[in-house]
Amino acid sequence: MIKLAKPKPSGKVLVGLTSLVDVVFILLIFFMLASSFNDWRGIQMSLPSTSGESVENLNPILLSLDGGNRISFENQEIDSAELALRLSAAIKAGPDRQIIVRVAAEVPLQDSVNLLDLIDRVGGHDALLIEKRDGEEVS
Amino acid sequence: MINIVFLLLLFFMLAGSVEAIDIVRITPPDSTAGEQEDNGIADILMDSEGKLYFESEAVELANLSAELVAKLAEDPERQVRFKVDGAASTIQVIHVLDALRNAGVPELVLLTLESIQ
Repeated sequence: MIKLAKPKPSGKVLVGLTSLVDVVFILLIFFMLASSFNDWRGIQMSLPSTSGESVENLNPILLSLDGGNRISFENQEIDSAELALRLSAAIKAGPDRQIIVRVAAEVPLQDSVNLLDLIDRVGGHDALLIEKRDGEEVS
Repeated sequence: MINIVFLLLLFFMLAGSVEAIDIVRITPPDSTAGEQEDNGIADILMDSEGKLYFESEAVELANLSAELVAKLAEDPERQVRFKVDGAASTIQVIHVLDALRNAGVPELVLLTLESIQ
């Protein structure tokens, strides 16, 4: 008969690594599923309550946006590359001119935001989005 | 092996941000304009069909302004954040903004995602 020697009691207590690894795996899975890597941006919109104030005297730059992403500049339909050129020229000529975008009923928000991006890129600010009838909103 | 798992864990903990999930699935528009925002948490949500949600509850446009004005009265410095689906109609967004303006909301922030170019 073989007698096994009794292990000598040592001072150290071994912590099982397996359970630790399990917990780390669970944490990893949680963070993989729950984290998002979106870069958020915020477009500031001011909603002036002064309804009496008129913007017409500033000789606004008129844009209009229709379904299918058709853009008109001063009632003339043009593509976005040409719009960028003409808009930046118009803004340079008159930096104080208000930009008014008239939006048709079926335009998705993405198209409007794209147009606001373009206006922002060519140096425009204070663009005013209005419905093709009335109602308004400033960005 | 466990080292790599630790590294991955650290990466996801530090690089990502854990956010509450909205009650409706919203794909905000891509944009290059606007200022960087820390997170995508919004007060008002609007899905692609134009349904409105205020603080994770469906609301009608008429009630939205009243609730928001009440919230703003408690904390006037509060920034109102509005998250809209990119497929929603611009006109509906303008109608909501009109209603809020008439209720006396001075400004808000439209949340967008930074576009990858």
